[in-house]
Amino acid sequence: MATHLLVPLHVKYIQGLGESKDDLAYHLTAHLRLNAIYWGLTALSIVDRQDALDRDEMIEFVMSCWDEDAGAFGAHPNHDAHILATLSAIQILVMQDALDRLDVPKVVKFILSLQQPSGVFAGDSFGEIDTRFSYCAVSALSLLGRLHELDIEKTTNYIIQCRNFDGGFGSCVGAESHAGQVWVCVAALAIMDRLDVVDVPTLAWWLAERQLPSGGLNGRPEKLPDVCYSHWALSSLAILKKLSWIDADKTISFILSAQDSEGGGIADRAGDMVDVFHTVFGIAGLSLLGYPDLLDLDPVYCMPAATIERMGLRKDWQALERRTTTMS
Amino acid sequence: MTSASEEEFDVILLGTGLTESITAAALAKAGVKVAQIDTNPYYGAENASLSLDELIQWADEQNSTSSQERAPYYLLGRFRRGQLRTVPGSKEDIFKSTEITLLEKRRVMRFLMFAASEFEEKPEFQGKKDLPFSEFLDSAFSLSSAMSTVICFALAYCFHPSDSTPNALSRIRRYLRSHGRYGPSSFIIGQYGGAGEIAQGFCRTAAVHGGVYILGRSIRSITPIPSLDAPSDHPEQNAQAPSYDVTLNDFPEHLISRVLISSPLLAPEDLRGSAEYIPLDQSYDHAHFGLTVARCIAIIDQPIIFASAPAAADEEDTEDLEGPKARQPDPSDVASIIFPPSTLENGSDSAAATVIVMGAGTMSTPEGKWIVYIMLPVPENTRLSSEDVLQPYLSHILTLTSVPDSGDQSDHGSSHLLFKLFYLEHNDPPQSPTAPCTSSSSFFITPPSTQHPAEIFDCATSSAETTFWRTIRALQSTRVLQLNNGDDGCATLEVDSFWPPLDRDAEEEEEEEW
Amino acid sequence: MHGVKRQTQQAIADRKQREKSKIEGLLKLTDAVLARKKGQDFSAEAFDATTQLLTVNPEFYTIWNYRRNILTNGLFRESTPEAINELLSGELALTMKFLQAHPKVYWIWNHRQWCLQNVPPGPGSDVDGWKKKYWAFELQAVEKMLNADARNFHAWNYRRYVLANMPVPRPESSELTYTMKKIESNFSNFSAWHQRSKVYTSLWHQGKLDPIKSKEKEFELVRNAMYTDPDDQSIWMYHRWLVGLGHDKELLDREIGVIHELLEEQPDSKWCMESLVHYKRLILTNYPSNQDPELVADCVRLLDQLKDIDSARRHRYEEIRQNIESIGGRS
Repeated sequence: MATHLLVPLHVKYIQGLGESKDDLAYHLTAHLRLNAIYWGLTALSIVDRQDALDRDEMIEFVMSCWDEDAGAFGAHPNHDAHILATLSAIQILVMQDALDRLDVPKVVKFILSLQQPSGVFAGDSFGEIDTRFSYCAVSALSLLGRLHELDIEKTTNYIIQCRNFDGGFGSCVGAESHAGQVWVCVAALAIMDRLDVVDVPTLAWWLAERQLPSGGLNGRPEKLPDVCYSHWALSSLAILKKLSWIDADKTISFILSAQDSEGGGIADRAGDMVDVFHTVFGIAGLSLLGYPDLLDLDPVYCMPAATIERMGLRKDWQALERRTTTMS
Repeated sequence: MTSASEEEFDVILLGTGLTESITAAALAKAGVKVAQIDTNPYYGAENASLSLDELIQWADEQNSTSSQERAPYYLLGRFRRGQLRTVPGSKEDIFKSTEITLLEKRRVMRFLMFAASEFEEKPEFQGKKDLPFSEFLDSAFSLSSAMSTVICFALAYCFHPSDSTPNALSRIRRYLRSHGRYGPSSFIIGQYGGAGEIAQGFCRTAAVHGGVYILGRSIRSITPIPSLDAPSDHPEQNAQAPSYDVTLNDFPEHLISRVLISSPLLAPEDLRGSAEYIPLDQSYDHAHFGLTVARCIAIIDQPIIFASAPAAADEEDTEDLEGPKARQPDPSDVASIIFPPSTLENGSDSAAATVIVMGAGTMSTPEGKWIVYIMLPVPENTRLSSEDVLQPYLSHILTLTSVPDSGDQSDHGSSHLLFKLFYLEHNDPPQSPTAPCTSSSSFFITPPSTQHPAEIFDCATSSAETTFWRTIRALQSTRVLQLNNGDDGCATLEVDSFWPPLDRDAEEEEEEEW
Repeated sequence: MHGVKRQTQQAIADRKQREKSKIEGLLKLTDAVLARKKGQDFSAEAFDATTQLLTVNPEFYTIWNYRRNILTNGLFRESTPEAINELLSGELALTMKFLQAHPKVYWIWNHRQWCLQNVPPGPGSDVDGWKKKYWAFELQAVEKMLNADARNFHAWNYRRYVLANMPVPRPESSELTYTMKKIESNFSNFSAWHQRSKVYTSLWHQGKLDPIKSKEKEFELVRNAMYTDPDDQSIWMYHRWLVGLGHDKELLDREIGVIHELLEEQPDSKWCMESLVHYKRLILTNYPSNQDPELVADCVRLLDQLKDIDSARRHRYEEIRQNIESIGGRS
């Protein structure tokens, strides 16, 4: 079992993703293509290998996903526009410093059109609502420098209604707290400078209790651990500045154990099939926990911290100090 | 050399009880050529499922002094005691129970966690494992005597308070680990409520893999002959174990076999001296073999009614939060009722009686009828008849067929009794292995069935596995093997496992993705 | 991928070989359906093609969108309410089939919800007739999904949606019975406790239930659960909700007593200690008195123990300890 991060293998794995057209799974995940590119690019950025994927090719692909009718991005050429894909497209363009390719007013119009009277956002014109989409809207508008066009109070009020007695947040009013929903809500509130509505001691307690004896974190009480919660729960804790409330060493070894030491990539748990989703969130978690030789991840935007800082968007979060050696 | 009147097998098994049937199926799956013979016209030997007519015929055939054993298969839903109380057999039961104090809930749970674990390593076990189980419970877990009784007789299914602690704990562990395997209960029900169909299912598996079956023929002779694999030029120098020539009445062919396996009942007297007795697994309590057990089979046309416990909170009607709900009668299709010693007037004060009730849901009765099985270990030389011993239990069960306080009690339910049959079962105890096992044996006698209702399958499976490996070893030691695959018979027998796992995708709990 | 076992490189190569024709078929079908979509083909043939494609890939959200467009812009247009009702029944049967194989795909649940929103009035003058039938069925369907996986949050969310939008509302209290059933079959089911907290809050808010009386019942229930399995965190979280901000000193004292007794029986219980610290802090904060130094000492002792037995979270315990000592220093 690997005891350190297999950076070259992961780089190779991510590079190989675009070339797996002989894999049925590749085609069955076309509806996630733009998200997958964002995940891959972010993972590469954190291991300081952003150059591993061709910039121009990537930008051209992003632009080929543009849905002119809706004025936003689909996940793949000829797929319908959706706020999930749209945020990914914006994040990629930001990281590649290519926002000039974007028809910003049109995208802003699309995003703002999705806000419902209750304050929550729909994912597209078909009206599915979820606090995930609120985060997408807030994050995207912020990255585009257009947050001032958002009705922040209305947006915040809906999130407040999703707050539960355990301090966490659910996907809509009445829904159970879930580490992923906690992150989207807390990060959206952080961007809107409304963290004052978070019950920090209770929520940070709930988040810290996501860590299991294996070192991995689960998403809800009495569930199995999963590498992707290293991002959802750890990023939330970083935003609340309580990242020290869990055992970093154990989480690091849990994430490292989920690596595929043959083909690269990280899985949800040791021995399972890897994917780019768990690869980026595993690396993101390692970065927040101070794993050596990684670049800082911004837990609010889930993008390289340097990029966010350069844009003047950095919020007041706290990761663990970067270590100089693998073992503490 | 196979002539028209001879057929050659690797293994002949006498008896179609569970142990022999599982062994036959495993051997046939491994590519061994088997034949299985039973003198009965049905499969399952002492575990057979009989129709009512067959049962009556069987009973008529029994001589009152030497009744043949017949252990029905037991399975259970819930479990009650004294004035009939639910047995707390799971975390949920304990959580829900309104009859256990908070403190005792903690202690029982601690005990169950202990029993479900590798308790052999735990400090509570060390130094106390030689205590009788009832004393172990008292001294290691500070349980109330009522709770100890429930655990001892209704979870561990001890026959006597003196039953061994390691065996009782193993039974509880098996019970707890079975929870949720096939649904919320630890118990499964064989078709027609018994094990006969299951024994037959294994026979069918063996047949699918080339096994030959002959039922309802009595054995005329079994003769040891020089080994089939002896060098043909010098058969007289053969140092190998003999092969066997089996002939049956009303069956023309000679059946020749390298290895002979027999149930204890069918093993020919004159060959027992040369037999190797397959040893019993130590985790099965030897005190549960070779017992005299009084048994009753009765048929009733009213279900046993359990007054169901009030729901812990029934809030359907918010206006009525405080009002206790009327206790609804809960007619059970399947139930297991335990009478620990000294709980019934005129009942046994030394042993626990087990009662199993089965209705139409088990396919062992038509709608509206229930079979009641009662079993109680009795002293070996008892002078009482099985009816004397068991009638108090049957009478008590009959009173449970009427709803309490319904005015239907005057007849004590006896008018609902349609059929009853009592008998005593004497079992031979297992033989301890006669000689140190040598690889040269070619005649094996399987261990007897346990009389413990909760262990019939497990014990048979364990005995079958031991018999299987012993047989494989015996076959491997022969020079040449004639395998089923019809080649020239020079293949070696390679066996990886007793029962190869089925190919199946291991589905784990899937965490949500988004 | 979640919970999918890793394969060897050889197995992957073999699988790819087998998948070749499947990929060709999928791409051909995808192109065909997307071409129809581009041509605004709202015909029954197009509808059937989406069924085929979604059967292969139920996560293809664009195709669900197209399917809904075919229904609203095509098939519904020429249809009687009866025929629309038929079509929607078909949609529900199809999504149910998909959900059994993919119980956690957002897009399928989403489509199902869209169907419910589009049930036409009828039959005849009974404007809610079909709706009632659908909703009754949905409640059963979602119970089935929750029987298969009692923690599926999609199913719980959907359940709340169904309950909130029933043509004939069910008394909210019946949800207490349902959650009790789920809790009794497994009290580690935090989803059920969560739901219970929502239902109670609503019933108290509407004055339909007396908060004091119902809380007593819940305390009793939780007490049974915590004695049965003190390691289960869901019950301790629920207990914390029941106690709330600690504005009832008598109740706080009583619950502290209960937990102390349990700790005596189970001296290594992390959750007993953690909860005792929490409730004692509530007393320190809400009811300053001359008992404070004793309470502070209690908490510090418990926190020191917690740092040992739950060392992963030791920094949290240390922070609380410092915080408490500062309260102690103040008084």
